[in-house]
Amino acid sequence: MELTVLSGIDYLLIILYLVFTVGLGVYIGRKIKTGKDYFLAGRSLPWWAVGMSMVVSDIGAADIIGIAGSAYLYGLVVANFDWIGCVPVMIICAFIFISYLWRSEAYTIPEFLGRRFNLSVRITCALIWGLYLVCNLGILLYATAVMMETMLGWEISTSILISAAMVGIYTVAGGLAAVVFTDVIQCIVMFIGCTVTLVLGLEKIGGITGLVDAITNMGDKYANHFSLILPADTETPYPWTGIMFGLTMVLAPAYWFSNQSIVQRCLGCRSEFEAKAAFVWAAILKTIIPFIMVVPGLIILTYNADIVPADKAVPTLIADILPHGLLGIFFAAFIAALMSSVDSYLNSAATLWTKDIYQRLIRPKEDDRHYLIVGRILTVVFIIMGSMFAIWIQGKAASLYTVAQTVVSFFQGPSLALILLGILWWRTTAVGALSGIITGLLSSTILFFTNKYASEPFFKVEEPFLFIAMWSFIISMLTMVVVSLLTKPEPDEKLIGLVFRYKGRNKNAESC
Amino acid sequence: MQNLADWIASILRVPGEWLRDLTVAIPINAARGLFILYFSILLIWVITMKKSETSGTVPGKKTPIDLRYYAAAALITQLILYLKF
Repeated sequence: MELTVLSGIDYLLIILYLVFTVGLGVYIGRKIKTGKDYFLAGRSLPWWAVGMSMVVSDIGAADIIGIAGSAYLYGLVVANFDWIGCVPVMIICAFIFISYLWRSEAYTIPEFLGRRFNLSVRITCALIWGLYLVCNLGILLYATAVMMETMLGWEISTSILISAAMVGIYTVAGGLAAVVFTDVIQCIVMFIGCTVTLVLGLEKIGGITGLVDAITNMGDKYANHFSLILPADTETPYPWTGIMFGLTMVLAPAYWFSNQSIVQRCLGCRSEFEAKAAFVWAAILKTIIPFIMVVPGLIILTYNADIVPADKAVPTLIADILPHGLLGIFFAAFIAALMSSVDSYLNSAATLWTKDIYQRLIRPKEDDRHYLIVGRILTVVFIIMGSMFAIWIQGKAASLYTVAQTVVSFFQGPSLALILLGILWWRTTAVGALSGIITGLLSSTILFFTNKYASEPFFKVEEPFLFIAMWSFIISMLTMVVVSLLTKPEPDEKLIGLVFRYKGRNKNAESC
Repeated sequence: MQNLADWIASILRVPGEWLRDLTVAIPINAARGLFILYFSILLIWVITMKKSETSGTVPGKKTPIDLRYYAAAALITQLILYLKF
């Protein structure tokens, strides 16, 4: 049963927002003439748009609800995912990694890895990332449709089909440029919607002082609700060890350095400097996110501590505090979060399959316009596949969704090891890279299934994905180092310009 | 499946428990120190970077922008948040 009833003015605001977004995307599409325009926006994107696009793409509609729901249960510790899990790695990426990726003029991460290593590494990564992006499309559509059903009572299949059609129209028409500039609108709408909820929520409970006093007086159960760092033996899924070694050292850099949907928009920047600036701007925006998304979960806790499941915390809050009109803005923000994530995955999946699979393996010598047409066709194919996958998940067990999410996270550790060593250590070889990816994937799978099927799980936390990512990263990296040292070094032409401060074997020896 | 899982778990459990005991023994304030150290090292790295690596111009503006200041501001905010909470 739905928690919120929208009025005519709310629907009008939502429709206006949708028409404007789709119209903008289609308008941008009129200028697309080549594959480069479509996949990399002709390398003409400004830093401010790319920064906003990265931030909003990272936040799905399910996150708006899920982050506040987790904050309701576990407190401020959830903010780690946006603070230590984003800000430092974005700055590291700005000043080290993005330069090498942008200068390589690659369209995709696997293409960069193909130049640095060989075709086998490129195709292996392209297949894994390609499947990841397409599956995630379905998962995102499904997760959001479930939220729509919970909040508004909309039927799941209808929500999936409407969202897919909206996003599909402007992504097919305008490619990366449409994705980035509609993301800017979506970012603004999302910030306004969430800030209004925060301000009115705080007003209702007597401001920040009222919030702190209320939760402090709620007893021992909530003693850690304002702590970012929880003990290693905490019963929540977020002990400091997982946050520091799993999130900060592995999952966060894997996401920001090597996720095609994030990095692709930076590759479309006007200059190397603007690609760097985009990451720094995104880091500043990320600092604000927990205030507008985590704190609402704490606000509702102060006057209703019995909401089950916790994901209903935000719907309950907005139903309580937002008048009609503002409700429409919040739902526009909610839909914006959905569209910004889906369009990014859709565009990146089409880019990756066109450039790394179709162009490299099937039809390598066509003109750029041919790849534009293929890219558009694949975009249509993937949005249909994503919708069908989302509807199929609905018909199966709910746990399938969780399994799908966990399985797609297996690649994070090996992927990070590959990009990290590939750019930072000239001695990494193609054989070492490939061995590392395979060993990392195997170790993730073994750890996950052993933990799941053993009589007694050996990870003490309920959702051990942070630790699985950490161990698969370590195993993958060790394998890459050992195998690389046992194999012949790559020639200079595969290293110069692609490896951090590498100027050629002789020149490096001279400088030593 | 369960037998195989139990066998692998029995091997992994020994070093796993040892590591877990080790991290549980670390006082929470020492853990906080690790977070602060991480941000501090990054902040020093950003501040001491060469200006040529962090500066540039964008269309429409003639004066160069130095990204170090903005990156440092973001990291200092993080430091304050992790010291406070």
